[in-house]
Amino acid sequence: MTAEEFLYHEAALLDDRRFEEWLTLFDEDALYWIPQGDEPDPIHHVSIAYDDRRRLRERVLRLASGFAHSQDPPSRTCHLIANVRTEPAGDEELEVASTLLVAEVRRNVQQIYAGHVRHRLIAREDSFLIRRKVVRLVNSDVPLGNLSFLI
Amino acid sequence: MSGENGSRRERGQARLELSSEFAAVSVEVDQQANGPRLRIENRQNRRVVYLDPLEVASLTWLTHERLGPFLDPSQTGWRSHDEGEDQA
Amino acid sequence: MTLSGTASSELITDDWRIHGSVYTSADVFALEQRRLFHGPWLYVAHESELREPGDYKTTFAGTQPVIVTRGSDDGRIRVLLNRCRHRGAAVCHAESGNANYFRCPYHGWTYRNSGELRGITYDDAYPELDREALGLVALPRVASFAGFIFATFADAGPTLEDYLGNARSYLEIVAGQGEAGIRLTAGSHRLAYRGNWKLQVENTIDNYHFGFVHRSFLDVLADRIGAAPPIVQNIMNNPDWRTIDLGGGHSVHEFGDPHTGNNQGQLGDLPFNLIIFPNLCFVGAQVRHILPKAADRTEVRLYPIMHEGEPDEANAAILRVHESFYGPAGMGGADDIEVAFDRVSDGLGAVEHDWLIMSRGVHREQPGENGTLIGHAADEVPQRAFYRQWKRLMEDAA
Repeated sequence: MTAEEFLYHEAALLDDRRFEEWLTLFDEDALYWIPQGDEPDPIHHVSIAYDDRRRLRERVLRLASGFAHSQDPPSRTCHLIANVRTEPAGDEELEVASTLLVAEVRRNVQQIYAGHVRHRLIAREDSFLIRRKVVRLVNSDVPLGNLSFLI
Repeated sequence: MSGENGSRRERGQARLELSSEFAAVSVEVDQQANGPRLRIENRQNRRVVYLDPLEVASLTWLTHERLGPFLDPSQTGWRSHDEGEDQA
Repeated sequence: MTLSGTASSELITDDWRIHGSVYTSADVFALEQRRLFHGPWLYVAHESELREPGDYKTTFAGTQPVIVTRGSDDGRIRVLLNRCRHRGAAVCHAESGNANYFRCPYHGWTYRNSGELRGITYDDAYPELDREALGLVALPRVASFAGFIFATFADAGPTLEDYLGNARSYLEIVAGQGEAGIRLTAGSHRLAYRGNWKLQVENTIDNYHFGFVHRSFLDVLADRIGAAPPIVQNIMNNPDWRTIDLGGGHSVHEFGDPHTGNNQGQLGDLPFNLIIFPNLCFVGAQVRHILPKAADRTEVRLYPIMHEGEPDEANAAILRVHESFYGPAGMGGADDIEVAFDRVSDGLGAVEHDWLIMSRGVHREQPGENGTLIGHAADEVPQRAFYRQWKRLMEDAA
């Protein structure tokens, strides 16, 4: 599998709402970061999400609880990935840059989210694990609504 | 009122020194406030002023004549009767 | 001014029925801007957002855009209408910055950051212009308490301290959270929802909903701490968890001792939830500023509270806890948006019978000290505190 194919695979899992499987794509030390604002510094500045593997697991747990009102009904999403550029980053790691467009439909309203994404991938067997995923939404500091679906 | 507050506000990268037989000044970009300011320090009396970008831009309208009052020692620092004011 | 057809005294009855138009009517919204967001003291900023001379922040007093500035030479805080006196353009558009002079982008009119008009471009076109009368309009009174800066459009009236009344001691506790105080320097979450601003006020100090709306977060907490968290039992049964009408529209929900309480057992959370009438709240580890935009449109700013004098790791940990519940991707806040705002706004469309009730626990309110009223944690004492003041101001024949 190429890195690009892996990104498509990750997006398909999200669009199919196969969240437990999606979670297994992340390394134990993974970081999933959605910064807020132009000069994001997660130590000194609030983020939309700055999740370690544990927090990611909590999100998936919550969505499976049957009581996550903000995802009842669940969002229907369509992830479009483009401009995939890959470069090596040390032993068996790849840095992958891409652009993302997500159409999200919920309760009769469609929203569009777009952003610049960076994945740090570790080669594992014939696939990859995600060590780090950063989603810089272009509207990250615009007043947002319900962003509780997994982007 | 300024000082470390834990957020990432480092002092300006480069400090510029400007000196002659008459004066010594250091100039740097200060990042301690909500926006960048030019920090100007008179090395001779330690007086400091902070100018925002619009104020610095306005200096380009100066003629040396209009700057005169600031060079008049009786207006700035060398006055007989004021107690407690910084001396030049 | 009265509302077309219905006096505001008829919108909230003595037995605590509330008419839905309180949340949906454009007329009510407009009258609120004149009565609730004009006379009362309105929160605008925290001192830590304006540390240096020349620092400014743009925000809203009600629906009116304002600039909060720290004077260049005198260090005084001023609150100015963000509106050029010439043709009305907003003079500052940045959320924050440092400037000792503002220059309007439309025609270059230039103001001191204390408001005075410094000069006009090509001013020979005005043979006689009273410059002194053309400064940026300043709110007449600005004051600070415990580091929180408020301003009012009213020339006269109670001092800020008198206005805050019984809420003062709680604000002092908030201000003392860190080893050396607090600061709001971590930015803010920004939310927007379809619905009235008062829905956010009510939701902030409603605990009755926790076990229902945040059921999925309780599952997360149980997984996180290894046991079912006692928050719902505490809300329903713990006599030390109380709601208090502080008077003046302010209210607090205590989780036991107001110095040491904690409702979820989470790091950094304040020991109580506090509402300062009309639109400032303290909840979780944040300052929550509610910005009314229209009867059915609201924005909210959530400012995480950082602790001065504590290491970066400690403050970063507070941010991580805040992010897990609050904000657009928060595992708690998103459910509030869905249920307390979206679904309520949906339901309020059924106007054939347009009455709601806010009488929970009214029979068991107990008088406390200094004119306060105390109730159970799940009772609607804070909501009634808010609407008592709302009625007083909306009915005032000013």
